Amino acid sequence: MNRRQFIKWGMAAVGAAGLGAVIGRYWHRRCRVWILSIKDYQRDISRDVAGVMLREEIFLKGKKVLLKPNFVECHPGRPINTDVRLITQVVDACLRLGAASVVVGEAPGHRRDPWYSIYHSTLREALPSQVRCIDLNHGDLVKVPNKGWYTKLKHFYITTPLAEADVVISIPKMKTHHWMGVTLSMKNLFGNLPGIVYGWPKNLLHVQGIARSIVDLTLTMPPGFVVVDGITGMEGDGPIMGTPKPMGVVVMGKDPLAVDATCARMMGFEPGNIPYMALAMPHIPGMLDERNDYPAEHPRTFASTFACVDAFRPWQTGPFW
Amino acid sequence: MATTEEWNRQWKAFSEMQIPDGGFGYAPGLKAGVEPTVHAVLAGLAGNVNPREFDASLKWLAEKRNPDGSVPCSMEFPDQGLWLSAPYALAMFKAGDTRSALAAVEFLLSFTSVTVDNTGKNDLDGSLVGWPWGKGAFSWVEPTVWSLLALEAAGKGDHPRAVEGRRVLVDRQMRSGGWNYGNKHVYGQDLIPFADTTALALLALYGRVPDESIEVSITFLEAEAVVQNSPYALALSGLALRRCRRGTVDAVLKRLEEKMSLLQGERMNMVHLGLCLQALGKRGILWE
Repeated sequence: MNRRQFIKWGMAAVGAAGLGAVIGRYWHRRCRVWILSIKDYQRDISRDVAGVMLREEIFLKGKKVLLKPNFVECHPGRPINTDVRLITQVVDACLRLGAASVVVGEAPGHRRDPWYSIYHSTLREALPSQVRCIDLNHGDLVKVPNKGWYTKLKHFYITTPLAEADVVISIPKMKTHHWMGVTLSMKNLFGNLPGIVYGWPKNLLHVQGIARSIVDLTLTMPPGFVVVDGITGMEGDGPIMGTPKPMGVVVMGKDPLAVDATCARMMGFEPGNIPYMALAMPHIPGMLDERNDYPAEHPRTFASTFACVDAFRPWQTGPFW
Repeated sequence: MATTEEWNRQWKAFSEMQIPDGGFGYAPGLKAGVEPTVHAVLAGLAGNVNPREFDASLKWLAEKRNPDGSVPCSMEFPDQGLWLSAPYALAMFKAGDTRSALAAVEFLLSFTSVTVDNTGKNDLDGSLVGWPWGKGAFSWVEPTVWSLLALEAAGKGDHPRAVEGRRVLVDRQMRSGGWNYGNKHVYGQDLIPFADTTALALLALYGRVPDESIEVSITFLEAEAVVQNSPYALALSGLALRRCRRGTVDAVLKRLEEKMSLLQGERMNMVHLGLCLQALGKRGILWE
């Protein structure tokens, strides 16, 4: 790229960001982000989760529900995965709301071996027997049109359990991420896609650009509801090699960008510095703090800067409240 | 190693999950897929099953090639999952369908990973060309291993692509001796090596690189394998330790037999079961 092109693209990017900010401020609707103070995993919050879902008009009666945790690799002492106790409580919440079926699905990108992720005994033994664990990396494929335009991909391929779900509930872990700064509900969408097509790791998405892929996935298959496991997050060299970060929160909402941007601020990151959030801003609501409502606790109560790799420290310009 | 009776019982149960069109799905009730069908054929060959028993699978597979010889994970989506051309070629060579196998190998020789400038974020030689999961992507351990095994089966183990492919694997070997999926370090931290990927790498490298360069890898795998609970990891570990002629393989295969009972219900995966039967079969079909 020569200097002239660089200036041209730079001006285009600045213009897009500015336009995004204007759209975000004046066009998008307001969003609600629910933050519950949950100090440990022992407390049963299934009623609280069900109550918030009802307030957000997430009606599950008679629906097929797929829960998509971040459950990618089991190593004792590392809080890599969404805690199984929180997953079971979300299962309970869905059953309370009359879901016809609930399954837990995951397509781990770091391990092909599902016995260290979605088939792991800790998860299987914690769940009620009627709740199946499904390895989304392998299976019959369905092609869905890409509703975004940031990647060159015309379609995404998913496996049938995901395609047939009426409602997908994302249950990510609040973690730092050594390529994206943070990983939350939108990055969790990588785990919707089967490794038999995208590889291990999901390198065919990396080729398209991680941030661009995240935004296209969010536009194509947004989760119906998000429950972030921030009771114990991960800081440092996440999403695998980091260390525990007790935060004592569960963050919920039906707008993935609103939930992710709020979590990012709680972690000390300016959302506008997180590439996928900046890219998503013009298209989906939730980026701007002043356009988000916090009907339960306010995020400032829990804000605590996460340690992260050096490259991302300049992105941490908080505190924000 | 499993008794003949026990192996035959498992094979019979496996065969009963064959779909009328001749293929096997990733799990009971699913459509036939290339990968589970490939591993069904390899399992049958490993157990010296009468070839007529998997003739329908071979016919099903023979129709699954694209005109350029590549093989996708599903013919509905002929440009997806092309890494499967490698295990396909291997199985078709072993089963005697040389025409299908050679076409897939021709494709594999033209199927290259992209190279990258090293960024300093990791410690690998990004200029080396191996095999990717799909077109336009970087090289990773598993697709490179299957491609190398296919080239060996084709008598092209000394082809320049094979030589460079082995260099990719050696370059990605971690200090512990094991392999992750293809990276060694990120931001100065060693990644975690796994039994399955280490076993795969050893299957491709044993006999082709100096023994001393993989001794630490074999030792790592021996230690890892005996504590695995995963039938998939145990099957691959058993295959690799058998390939490397280690006495410890018996304990690993015994553990595998114990853990195979986990392969049922929602956790049934026909690729895993096929690999288990290959590990417990009479012939080391992946390399013999």
